[in-house]
Amino acid sequence: MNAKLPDAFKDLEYLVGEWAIEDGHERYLKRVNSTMDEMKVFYNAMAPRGKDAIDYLDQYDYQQALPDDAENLRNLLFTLITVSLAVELWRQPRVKNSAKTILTRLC
Amino acid sequence: MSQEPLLKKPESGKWTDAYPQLGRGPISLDDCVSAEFYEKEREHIFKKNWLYIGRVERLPKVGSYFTRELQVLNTSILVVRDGEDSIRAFHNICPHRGNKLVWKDDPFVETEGTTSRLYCRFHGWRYGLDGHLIKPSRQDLLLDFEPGKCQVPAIQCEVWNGFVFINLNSDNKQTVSDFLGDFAQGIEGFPFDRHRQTYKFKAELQCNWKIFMDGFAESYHGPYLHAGTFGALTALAKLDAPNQYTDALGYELKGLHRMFSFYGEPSKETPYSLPIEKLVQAGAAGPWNKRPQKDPLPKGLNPTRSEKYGFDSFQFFPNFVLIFSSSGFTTHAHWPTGPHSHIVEVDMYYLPPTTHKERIAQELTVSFLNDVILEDASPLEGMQAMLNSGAIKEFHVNDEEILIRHLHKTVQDYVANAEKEKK
Repeated sequence: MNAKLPDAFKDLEYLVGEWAIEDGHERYLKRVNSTMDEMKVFYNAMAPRGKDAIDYLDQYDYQQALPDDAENLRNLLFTLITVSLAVELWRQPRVKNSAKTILTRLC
Repeated sequence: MSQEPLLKKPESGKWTDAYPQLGRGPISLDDCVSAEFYEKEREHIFKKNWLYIGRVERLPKVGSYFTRELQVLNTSILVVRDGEDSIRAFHNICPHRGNKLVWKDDPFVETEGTTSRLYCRFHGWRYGLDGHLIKPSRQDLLLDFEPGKCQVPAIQCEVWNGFVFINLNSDNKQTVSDFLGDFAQGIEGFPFDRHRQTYKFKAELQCNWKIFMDGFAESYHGPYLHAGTFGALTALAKLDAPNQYTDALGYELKGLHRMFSFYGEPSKETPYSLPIEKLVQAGAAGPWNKRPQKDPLPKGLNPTRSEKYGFDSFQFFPNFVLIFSSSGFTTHAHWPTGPHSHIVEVDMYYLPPTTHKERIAQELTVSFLNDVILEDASPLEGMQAMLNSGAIKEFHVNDEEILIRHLHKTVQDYVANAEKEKK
């Protein structure tokens, strides 16, 4: 998969390599292994574009495979969800009072 | 659906008063600490009762199989679809010399796949999907040998509404449906097979399996332990008074099993909604402003017939929890790995999304629930460590903790009775 995004989101392409993570467990590991500063850089760039990104994706038929560039955008949204809970709710990478425990996401 | 409640609080105002045999004093916690008790629990409970081991969708066609490594049973289980309407379970062992029959790369890791027959890699013996010996290799070498005595050892296996159960007790005569009883009858008709969007999580936690089940058997801890995730509830919780947001709508005990029904507003924006919830239009309780359900609920769901109904959680003996919510249904299965540890498997089954927006909303709900479960997990591990200290011997459980009283009493009585019968 390349690192392209749809035209309207071209300026976010620098985020794709690091933050467009499809696999749920990999995404969670990225969250707990990142610092808050690292996550905030991603969050501050991605969150303001979230609504446009969802609207863009929603033009596509869900039953069809997404083109690569739209799939990258979808994966950035998935990571935005994972990271948002750290930024907006816990204000730390891990769930508060959860020590080193995490769940393994199988699918 | 009839509006007449199936379940009402006793007029005394205490759920526990509906079950005089349950007791009201402190309860022993020895069943969560004692290694000796754990061995009895394995022998009498886990090896003698129906256990849920996976959904039938994992076996889509004839020849589909999966294995389960279940330490508590001291065996590996092989589950196979050998016909359109036939699913079988076996001990995962070749009856020739005892080689572990089906595994890939690592014999202690669960696997799945499709095959036309069961093949032993050790000496190349072949068995049918029903476990009978098709052909040993090198038949010229056989001595006194009866093929009928050399079959993959079968385990009782039954499917109830797509839930596959096994029972290691070969003398068992009870069907799964009879075993699950009235609660199961009450949820017949739920469209389980339409909920094909799955999200699955698993973790080994350093606490007894019952300690974790207890944590999900009351919502009384909500405004305290989950102060961060349930901001709305915590802010509105009135301390030291009945609390409509955190007291269950109802609790019910039936034989070995138990359930509670819990309050919930339709998922929607609140003053406490996070920016990500506003963006995705969903929260932990599911997508916001969902259209009301078209199909009526099965009669056993929302048993208090409350208009403010959120979810129902059924705890089927011994280790299978089935939760119904507006998002679909979720299973929790608890597999002890020792007296003070267990593997919890949380599988969420939702309706398949029809748009990308719906898929993204589910992702937030699932991510949120993942974090809520973690909020419970570590405290429960700390609790187990302190129980192991022996500093306290009993739990002081209140009326909102009635299911905890029932789980421990049921397990302790079951073991005590089985021990008596043994003598």
